[in-house]
Amino acid sequence: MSGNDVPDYGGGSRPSRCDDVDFTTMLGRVDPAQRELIAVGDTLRVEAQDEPVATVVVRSDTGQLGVLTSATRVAQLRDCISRGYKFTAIVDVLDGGNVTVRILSS
Amino acid sequence: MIIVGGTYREEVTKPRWNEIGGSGMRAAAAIAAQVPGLVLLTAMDSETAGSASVSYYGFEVEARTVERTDTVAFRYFTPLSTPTVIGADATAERIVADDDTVCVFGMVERGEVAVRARRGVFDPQRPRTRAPLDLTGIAIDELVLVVNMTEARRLTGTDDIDEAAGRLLSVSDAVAVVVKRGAAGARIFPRRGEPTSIGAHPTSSVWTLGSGDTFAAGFTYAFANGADFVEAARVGSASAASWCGSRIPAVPAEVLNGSAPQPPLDGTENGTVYLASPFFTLGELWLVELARGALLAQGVTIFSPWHDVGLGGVEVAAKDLAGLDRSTAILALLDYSDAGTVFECGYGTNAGVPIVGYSEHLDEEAMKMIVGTGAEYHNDFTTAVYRAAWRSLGAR
Repeated sequence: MSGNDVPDYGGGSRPSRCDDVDFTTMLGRVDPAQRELIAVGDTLRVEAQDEPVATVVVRSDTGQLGVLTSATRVAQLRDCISRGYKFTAIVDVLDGGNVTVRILSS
Repeated sequence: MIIVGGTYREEVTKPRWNEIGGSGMRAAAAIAAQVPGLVLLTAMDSETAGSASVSYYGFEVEARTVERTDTVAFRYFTPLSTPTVIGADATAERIVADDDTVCVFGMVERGEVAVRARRGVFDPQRPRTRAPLDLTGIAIDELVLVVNMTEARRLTGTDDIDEAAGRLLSVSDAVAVVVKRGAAGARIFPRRGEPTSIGAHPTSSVWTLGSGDTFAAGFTYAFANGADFVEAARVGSASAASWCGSRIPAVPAEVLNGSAPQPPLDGTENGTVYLASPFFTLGELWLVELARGALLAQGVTIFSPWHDVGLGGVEVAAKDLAGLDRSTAILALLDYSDAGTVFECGYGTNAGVPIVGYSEHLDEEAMKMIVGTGAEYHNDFTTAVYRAAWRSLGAR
């Protein structure tokens, strides 16, 4: 028996292995100054952050752009990052202050 | 502004979804960026706290929590299905809210709530059984009740939404009742004055989980900023559309301030959805039931050959097509290209009836004529059902 899902956002798609991560998610706490410096298609870094909340952030060379808001995805990525896996974020949609990125295994 | 409501895990089997949500969490996330000082009062257990903190932090929601005894989760088979509630016996410590404006949601956890405000919204959240409206502990001078069709029925025992709204006004001090009608929009009943209907904002994709929460949040935001009941409902409806179409919880500022992402329907349109589907297997029958139930729950008129004509021989064909002649859109369940369903699509296409197809396993060769003559096709069931409802009401 097998199944598949329609593409979706947030914690929507099936759980991925660390080397096969590919999902799209919105960012929270977007820094407006950093937002002005990015464009759709830009590749950014994905890093774990421990304080003030254990989460995952997306950074460019000039600073932190925003944080992931999906608790399920944060748990998955933090586990993978702690095991040495690396990820990149591709800017997917810029809509006003909202930023959506595609997270991919490096 | 204070939002009082639940923070729950939400899981959907198809399409797969597993996130921290709940009415309080989602409503706070919807408007937090536009409401400085917004506070979410919610209940929390130790197992959920870590995940919830990620969402609170990400959405810049200041959450103040009281302790609850158990994890609470909602499990849906599809977004259109009635959920199973995990932790339905949970209890929570007392929640106290006192502010100029509040948005209060009914919660799963049993516990005392003491709310005092000058104005605000109460959304009772789907009562699982028929029960009268319970406003114990809620003292809001200008109270607006925001309910969906199912809640209106269960709270009052009547299927007539005008009558239901009248009963809700009669058993409360509410200054208005807003009945959300899903794809059909909403109807606003002020205590003084005539009711008004507003249309929904059709979107190209639809994620219904949490749409009501976002509606209530948008309504409360607009109400707090001086909008009248109808204007506030329009903002609520546009906010819900923003969430449904994007699954981005934060509602853009321009939407909250009155710019709709898409033009709304009028709210007074009538239409009938013809449900074209095979109904030979349990799976096919289940899908027909699910679609029909979801549409009926929103007050959408539906003609279902299985329900309205039944099984039979060749004599059912003319009866089915008579129903199709009276319909304004076709929802076609196209998996495995059932011959009868494909015929109905062809008949409808010739009659100028818009077709919305659903299929997870689209046979592109078999569907060439249907898709090639302008039919919409979706592989998400919820989207297909809502699109069919909107097309029946005249949306393009």
